[in-house]
Amino acid sequence: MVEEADRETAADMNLFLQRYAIEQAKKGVSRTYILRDDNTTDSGRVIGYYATSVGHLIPNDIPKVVSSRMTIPVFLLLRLAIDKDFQGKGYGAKLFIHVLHRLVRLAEETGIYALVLDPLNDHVRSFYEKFGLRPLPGDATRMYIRMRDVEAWISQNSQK
Amino acid sequence: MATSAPAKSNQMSLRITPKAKQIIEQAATIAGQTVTDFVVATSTEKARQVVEQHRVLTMSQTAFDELAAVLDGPATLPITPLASKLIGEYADSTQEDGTLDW
Repeated sequence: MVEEADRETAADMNLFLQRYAIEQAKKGVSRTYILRDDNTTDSGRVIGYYATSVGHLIPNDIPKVVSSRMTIPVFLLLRLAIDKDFQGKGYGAKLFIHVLHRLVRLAEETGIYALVLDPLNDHVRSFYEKFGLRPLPGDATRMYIRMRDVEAWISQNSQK
Repeated sequence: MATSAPAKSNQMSLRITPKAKQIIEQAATIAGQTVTDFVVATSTEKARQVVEQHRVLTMSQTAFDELAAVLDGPATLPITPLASKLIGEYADSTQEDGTLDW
């Protein structure tokens, strides 16, 4: 049974892809990657997608001393969604691994420290916990992982 | 997996001009929704867009300092079993030309 919250989320995820993904990419607001099914007769069908961007974490008090670090630049995973017909097959995890590989490369070039995301519910939260993401200090609704840790994982586990 | 919908336990009330109310009611009728469903859906959609485009997340100075200290540390996070499995698979399926064959 599809509950109301899931329906709203699904509608929102579809709407984003149909209406906003291209617009945001053109404006430089976010970038969307799509996972397509090229193997079956249903060639070209969208299995899932994700959208990333860059943001800043800032302290809400004005610092008393001017520190060298006024903001923390972070990658944001705005959305990651799998079509309901393809859910439960591991595509979400694969897409997230693609996110991590892509962002590690970008982190090397930009010095961005962490990936931050905002899980929609506890089910999504436990998905990201399996990848080592932890609650963001001071804001347990969000989760983060350090790019440095992911970079180490990839370099240690990618030897052929 | 069915997750239960969060209860609609919160209430919002707001003042609105008769003209604005009329057009909202008209739009809800056309969309085949109740006024409440229509207003909640459209304003939530707009709110999400605004939040997504506002890429500055504020946090307390304490939390900010805590995070800054964590970020400065060396790589120490143990890899999780799932990440280990999938990163290995990703490497194995990356072709010479850089394309992926999952």
